[in-house]
Amino acid sequence: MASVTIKNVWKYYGETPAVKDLNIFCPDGSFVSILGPSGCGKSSTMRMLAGLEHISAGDILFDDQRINDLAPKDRDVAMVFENYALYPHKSVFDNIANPLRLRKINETVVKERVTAAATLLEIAHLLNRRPHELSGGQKQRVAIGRAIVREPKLFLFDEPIAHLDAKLRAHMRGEIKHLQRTLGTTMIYVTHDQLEALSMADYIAVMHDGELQQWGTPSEIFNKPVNAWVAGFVGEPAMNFLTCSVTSRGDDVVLRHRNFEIPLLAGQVSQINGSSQGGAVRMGVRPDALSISMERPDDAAIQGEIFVNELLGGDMLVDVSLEDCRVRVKTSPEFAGKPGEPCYLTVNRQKWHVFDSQDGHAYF
Amino acid sequence: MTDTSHMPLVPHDVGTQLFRARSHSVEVEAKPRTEVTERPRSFNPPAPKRYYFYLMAPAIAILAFISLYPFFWLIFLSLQDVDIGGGKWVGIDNYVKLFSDSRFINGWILLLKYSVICLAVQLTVGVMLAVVVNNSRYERFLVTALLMPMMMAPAVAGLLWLFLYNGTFGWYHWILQSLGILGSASILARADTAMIAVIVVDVWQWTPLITLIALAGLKRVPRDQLEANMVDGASPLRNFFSITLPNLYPVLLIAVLLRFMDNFRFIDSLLVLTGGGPGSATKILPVYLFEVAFKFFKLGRGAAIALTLLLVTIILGKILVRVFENPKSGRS
Amino acid sequence: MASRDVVSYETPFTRIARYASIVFVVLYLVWTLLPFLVMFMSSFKDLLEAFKLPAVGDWSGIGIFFEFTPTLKHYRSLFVDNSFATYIANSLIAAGGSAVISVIFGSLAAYSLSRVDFRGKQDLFFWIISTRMAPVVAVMVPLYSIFRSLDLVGTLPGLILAYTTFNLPFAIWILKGFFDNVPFAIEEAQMVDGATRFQAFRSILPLVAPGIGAFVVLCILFAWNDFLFAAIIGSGGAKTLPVATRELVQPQNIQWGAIMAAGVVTTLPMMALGLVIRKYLVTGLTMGAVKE
Repeated sequence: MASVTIKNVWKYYGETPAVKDLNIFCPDGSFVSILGPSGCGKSSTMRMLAGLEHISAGDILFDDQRINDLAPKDRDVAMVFENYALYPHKSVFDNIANPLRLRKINETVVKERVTAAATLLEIAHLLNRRPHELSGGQKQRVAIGRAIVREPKLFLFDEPIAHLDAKLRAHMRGEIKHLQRTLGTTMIYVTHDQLEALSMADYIAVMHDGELQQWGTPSEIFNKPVNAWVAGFVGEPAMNFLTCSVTSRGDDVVLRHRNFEIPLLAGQVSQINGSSQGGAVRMGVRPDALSISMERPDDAAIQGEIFVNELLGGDMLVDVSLEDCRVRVKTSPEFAGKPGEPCYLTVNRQKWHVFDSQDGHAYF
Repeated sequence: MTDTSHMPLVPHDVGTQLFRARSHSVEVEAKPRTEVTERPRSFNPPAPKRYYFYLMAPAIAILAFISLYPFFWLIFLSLQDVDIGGGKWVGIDNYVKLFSDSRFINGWILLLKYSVICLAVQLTVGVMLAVVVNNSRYERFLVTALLMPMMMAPAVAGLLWLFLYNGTFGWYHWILQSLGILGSASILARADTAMIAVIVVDVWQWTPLITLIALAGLKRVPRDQLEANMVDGASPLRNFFSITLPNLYPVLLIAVLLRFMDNFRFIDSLLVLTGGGPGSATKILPVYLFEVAFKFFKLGRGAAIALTLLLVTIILGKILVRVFENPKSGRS
Repeated sequence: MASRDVVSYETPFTRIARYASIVFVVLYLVWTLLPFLVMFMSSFKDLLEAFKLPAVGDWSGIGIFFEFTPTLKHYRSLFVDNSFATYIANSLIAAGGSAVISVIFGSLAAYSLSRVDFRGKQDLFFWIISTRMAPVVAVMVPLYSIFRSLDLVGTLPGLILAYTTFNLPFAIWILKGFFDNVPFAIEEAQMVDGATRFQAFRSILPLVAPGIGAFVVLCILFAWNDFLFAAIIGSGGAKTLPVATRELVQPQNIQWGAIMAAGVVTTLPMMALGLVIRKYLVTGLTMGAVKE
């Protein structure tokens, strides 16, 4: 087990930077997820941690040891690949045993450890099979087995469940999280799926365009996004964004949109700190921070027209047309509005966000 | 419709039709299959079958005339004693005589010896070369240079090497002599070295083919397997033997198959270089057959020899195809 | 995104391996290209100069290999004393003829075989492929006997037909792989749009055209480089370049200069063609079993 420090790390492919000045500290024993869309540099980061890519600049430390120039075999990490990367010419047993055998571990111990790992992953009955005889989920367990059989300093999981079907993926999320808790080994888990990151990780590093956007616990990432990009990327269904202007109305400071005006809460005014008085901002509000009703509840309510309803079993999503844009609202399945009918939206101002319209940083 | 101009005309798996079963692709599955991308085995053609048989007919007819008909003619010939003048029916006499023909048996032994040594050398050197050339900065240039010998007519290659080996003015002879490996007699003139000489020529001309095949195979060694093994703790050398080589076996098997059959097929350079001599030192079976059929014009006897050669080629082809189709031996 | 090569870390082993592989490649290049150099140079040397060697063991004397006055007399003798122009024409006609026949009929058959399934198809395939793989001498025994009775021995049509024994199965085999990779949907769309079956077939030809072109060239290459068929079936009236070159070797008088010149004349065009279709070369030389 070890903590991982990524210090001012850059990765260039030719002239193109893939990772820009990355700084991350993963505490010992933590489950850290690197989250971002494809091409954001998350896989490059993981590959640099594993030693599969050279580090262009900066340092990576495991505890206090600088590992930049160590070959993968000397780093004592274990990795689960997106495509599992099983050895097709070897049996499941030999696949899992491979890291141990490469370390010349006594064959009785190998047998013991492989069996233990296989039992933990419920694949003990598959040990004599070849990878091509396994289902996707089983292959994935074998790949994990190969990683955990050896008690490494660090686990690296590169989108390990991306190729499984939705149901199995949900199941494996729980399993992997449980596994990490049981083993207590530091884990770095790369994914593009925000749900995976939110549900599994202790800390999430959100990356975009090779840069770290935000580091924090899942709830910080979800509830206090530092900028509009993170806010838009995390959360499903995605956050609604409306361009507004900040103006004064009597004693209040309000967000003014073409068809509504909503006052800021007292504490929020100072956070906007007057700098954007009269200027444009982006208001962000998640679908579950909006409530919808057919009658006007108060003056601050936003009037719109129902565009379409989507029933998602336990929830209902309603797309509402405002004059020049559309927002999405999460409500209960009992909601009875029909497309075309007028409706009213109320914003939960405890849960809304305001972002700078230029650089996107969050005021609150 | 999709943009067909970018459609690859020959995706990797073209090759596998040589071995019928498309599912036993040379290629290792790069991604877990989430959907069926291969065409189902039984399919509805876009037009009635009859139409396709018409299109096929001319080619099949030509092939029947130049392949099937000669094949039966060969069997017919082998049962006769045919000379320039004409033939007389002798039944299986030609075959019976083969068993007591020491040159026939010797021909087989030499053919096997020749093929096996050629292949062993070509495989070793060819794969090493492929590994070195792979991802070299000069790969394109190197591959182009490697192609050269294969473009040369084997008969011309034979003549060129005859010149190089020449005991009085051959440069290679001079080099061998200067290195103290050889005396004044040409390498081709001595019964104990002539076989080496013809093998060297085959190695010169065809090792590049093994290299190119191995190179194509190397490009398809799944990168993530190599990397997984590195993370598991393998050194580069270890990685080569436990990941690269096993992944190469299927293509190398193809290479072996092709080269083995080519050694049976082509005798052009050997015919030019030694003509089977000195004595019978390089008289591998096809050369002996050539002599019997086209020097002494014993076509009946030649037909019998040809049939044994043909039979072994076909069996060999079948066996190797079978081995290849067996999922246990190669990739799934 | 990932680097082009699998990562490597500098160790004493990798350093030694790198130097060793450089030495190996250089040696192999010399070994592979030296015969060409000798052939090329010797074709421009007067015989006396071509035969000059340093004393045995005198490595410093290698320089005399490069000491000569270039002459074109061997090339001249090919075309003046011998009729190499005719032989080139024979080679071209025989190789080109069989290539064209093979690819035309081969592509029709390959297309059909790729589009239709029937019992015995696999056996038909094995027959086709074994025709191609059969030892040339073995094929030639009955072919010679048959052609002799049809007066085809020593004629260009005979030789063309003989070359077709290996080129046609080759073409069917390879081109089927090409057609297999053209989705049915293209023809189906054409036919839904109102094309006839033959128009539908024609509509997919552009997709396989580069491949077909390359394999015409490969068929030419195989036939051009053949020696045995030409020596036996073509003997007399249809002498091709390899045979004519071989005939410069006479018991009393081996015209080495002319042989080297003929070697250059025979090899150069094929090298050029080989470079043109480089992309398809490995596929072709491995019977489609390996794609570069």
